[in-house]
Amino acid sequence: MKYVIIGNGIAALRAAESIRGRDTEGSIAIISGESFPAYSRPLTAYLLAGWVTDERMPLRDSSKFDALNVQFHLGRMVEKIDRGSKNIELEGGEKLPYDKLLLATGASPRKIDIPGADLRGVQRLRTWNDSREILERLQTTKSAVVIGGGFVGMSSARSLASKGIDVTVVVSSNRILSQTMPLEAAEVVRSHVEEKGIRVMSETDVVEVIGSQASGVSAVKLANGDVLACELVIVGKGVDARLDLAQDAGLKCDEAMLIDAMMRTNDRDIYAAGDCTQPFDLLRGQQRSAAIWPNAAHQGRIAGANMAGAQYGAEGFYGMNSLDFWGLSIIAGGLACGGDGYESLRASGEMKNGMPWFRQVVFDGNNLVGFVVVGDIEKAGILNGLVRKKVDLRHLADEMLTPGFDMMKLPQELRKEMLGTVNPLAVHLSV
Amino acid sequence: MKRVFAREEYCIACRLCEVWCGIEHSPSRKAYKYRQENPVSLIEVQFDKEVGNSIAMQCRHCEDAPCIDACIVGALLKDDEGRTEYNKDRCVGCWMCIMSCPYGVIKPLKEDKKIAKCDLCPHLDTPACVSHCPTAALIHTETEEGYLHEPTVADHVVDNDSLFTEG
Ligand SMILES: Cc1cc2nc3c(=O)[nH]c(=O)nc-3n(C[C@H](O)[C@H](O)[C@H](O)COP(=O)(O)OP(=O)(O)OC[C@H]3O[C@@H](n4cnc5c(N)ncnc54)[C@H](O)[C@@H]3O)c2cc1C
Repeated sequence: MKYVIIGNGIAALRAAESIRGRDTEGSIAIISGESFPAYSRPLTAYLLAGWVTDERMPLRDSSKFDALNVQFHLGRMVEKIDRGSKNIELEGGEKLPYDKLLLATGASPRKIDIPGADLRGVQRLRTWNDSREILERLQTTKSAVVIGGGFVGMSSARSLASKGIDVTVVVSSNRILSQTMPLEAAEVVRSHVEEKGIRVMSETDVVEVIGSQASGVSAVKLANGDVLACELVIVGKGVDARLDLAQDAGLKCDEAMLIDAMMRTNDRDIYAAGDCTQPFDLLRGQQRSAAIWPNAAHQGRIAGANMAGAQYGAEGFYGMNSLDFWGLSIIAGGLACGGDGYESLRASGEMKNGMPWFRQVVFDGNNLVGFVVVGDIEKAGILNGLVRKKVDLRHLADEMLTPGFDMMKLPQELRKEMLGTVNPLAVHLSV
Repeated sequence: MKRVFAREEYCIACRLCEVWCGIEHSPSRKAYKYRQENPVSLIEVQFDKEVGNSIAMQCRHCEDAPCIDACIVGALLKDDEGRTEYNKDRCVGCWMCIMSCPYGVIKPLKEDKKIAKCDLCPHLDTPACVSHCPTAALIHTETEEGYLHEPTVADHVVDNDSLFTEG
C-alpha cells in the first residue's frame, strides 16, 4: 500500500503515526513546502518571547520520527493531484503515485488589504520562518502593533510585552478574543493584560501602514485618524484554508474541504484533515471549521486509521481554547459566547490570591453547549466533556458556576457511566 | 493494560491514596520526610457532602486520550504499554490538556508552568494508591472488564454521502 500525505503539521504527523500503528509494511511519503520536521505551530509565538528554543520546536524526538519509517520530501510544494492516474506532482515535475492520499495542507493567515501592508516589518505569524523574521525585526523594535485580538494576535502580544516591547492590540470588534468569549470575560482579561503592558484599542481598525522602503514600517494610522508609531506590525486577522490543490482536483470545498465523519472527501481514496477542512460541528449541526490544534490532531488520527483500513467515524468537533496571560488562565469551549436562542449564566469573584475569576455556562434548552472559565481552570475539562454528552444538565448550572466543580457534583448515574463499572470478579482476582 | 478503577461505594475518604501517592512521588520516597519535600499528589479524593460519598480521581490513561491530541508540544504520548506518558521537559504549561480532560484529573502547576498527573507508578507492580487502599475502593485491573471507551471515536462507519451530492 502506498500512502501519501501532503503537509507536515500535526494533522499529517498524527495520520502517519496512526497508519504506522496499523500497517508496518506500506510506504508512507510526507511532502511539505516547509523544510522543517513536524513542529509546534503554537510555539512560534513562544519562540518570540524566548520561552522555548529551536530544539523544542519539533514535536517528536528524532528516534520517534525515524521509527515511523516515512520518506520525507521537505521544502517542496505539491503542484497538482491527478486523480485519474492516482499521482501527485511535485514542483520540478517529479511524480509520486498513491493508493491512499491525505490532504493536510492547513491554512494560511488572511492578508490585510490596506496601503502599506507590504512594507518591511509588517509580519504574519504562522511558520517557524515567520517567527525568525519577527525576531530579526525585534532587534530594532521598541513599539509594535498587533492587528486582531484572536489567539494568534493575543499570544504574539503576550510574547512581545513580556520582552518589554510597547504593544498595542487593535481589534475591530468590541473586545479581544471575540470568537472565544463573551464581553464580560474579555473585560476581565483585558484589564489584566493592560496591567501587564498590552494596550487594547477596540472598535477601530488600522486603515494604513506608514513607512518607507528603506526602513520599513514606522507607524500605523487608525480609522479615527490616530497615528501609532511602531517598528513592527503583526497581522492576526484569522486564517483561510489552503484549498488550491483540492479545488484544482475537483474535490468538494465550501470555505474549506468538505469531509465526512471518516475524513473522506468525495474521492474514496482521498482523505483530508486539519485546518484545511470543514468537519461536522457537533453543536451547530453543520459543516464548520474551527481551525484548532486538537481537532487537527484528532482528525489526522482518524484519517490515518481509515486510510489503513479501519472504520472510525468522529461524532463531531467544535471550537475550544486555552490561554494564559501571566498566570491568569482561561479555558473556553463550545458556543462559549452564547447569544440569541441560548441561555447564558455567569458568576464572578476574586480568588484567594487576589486574581479575578469568572465563569459562564451556556445552555441550549437543558443541554450544556458552551463554557468559559477564567481563573480557576483546574477542572474546566469536565465542562468540556459534558458538552459532548448532550444530556439534561440544566439543574447543575449553579454547581458549574462555582469554582471547584468536580466529578462528585455530577449525578451518580452519569458519573458511573463516565468512569465505567468494574466486574466484581475481576476485583477479587486483582486485590 | 491494567488501569486503576475507583469504586465510590467502598471509598471512606481516608485519603491514604493521596498520602501514599505523595510519598511514592517524593524524592526520598520516605513516609517520615516526604512532607518536607513538597510532592504533588497525583490522585485526589473528591466529596459529595450531601450524600456523603467520595471517590479518588486520577488520570485514567484513556485508550483514546483527548489530552494527547490537545498537547501542542508532544509532551503527552502513549508508551508501548498504553500508559499516557508525560514528558515534563517538553511541557510549556499551555493548559490545553487540562481543557481537554473530561475527568479534570490533570493538575496545573502554575508556578512551574508544568502539569502533574498519574503515571501508574511504572516501577511498581501495583500503584501505591491501590496497594495502600484499606477498603479496595481502588483496584488495579485489566481494561477489558467493563472499561468504557472514550466516546470521541465511535467504532462504526458514519457515511455522510449526502454531503457530497450535487446542489
Ligand atoms: C501563533 C499560533 C498560535 C496558535 N495557538 C493555538 C492554540 O493555542 N490552540 C489551538 O488549538 N490552536 C492554535 N493555533 C492553531 C494551530 O496551530 C493549527 O490549528 C494547527 O497547527 C493546524 O494543523 P494542520 O496540520 O491542519 O496544518 P498546518 O500546521 O498549517 O500544516 C500544513 C502543512 O501543509 C504544508 N502545505 C500546504 N500546502 C502545501 C502544498 N501544496 N505542498 C506541500 N506542502 C503544503 C505546509 O507547509 C504545512 O507544513 C495557533 C497557531 C499559531 C500560528
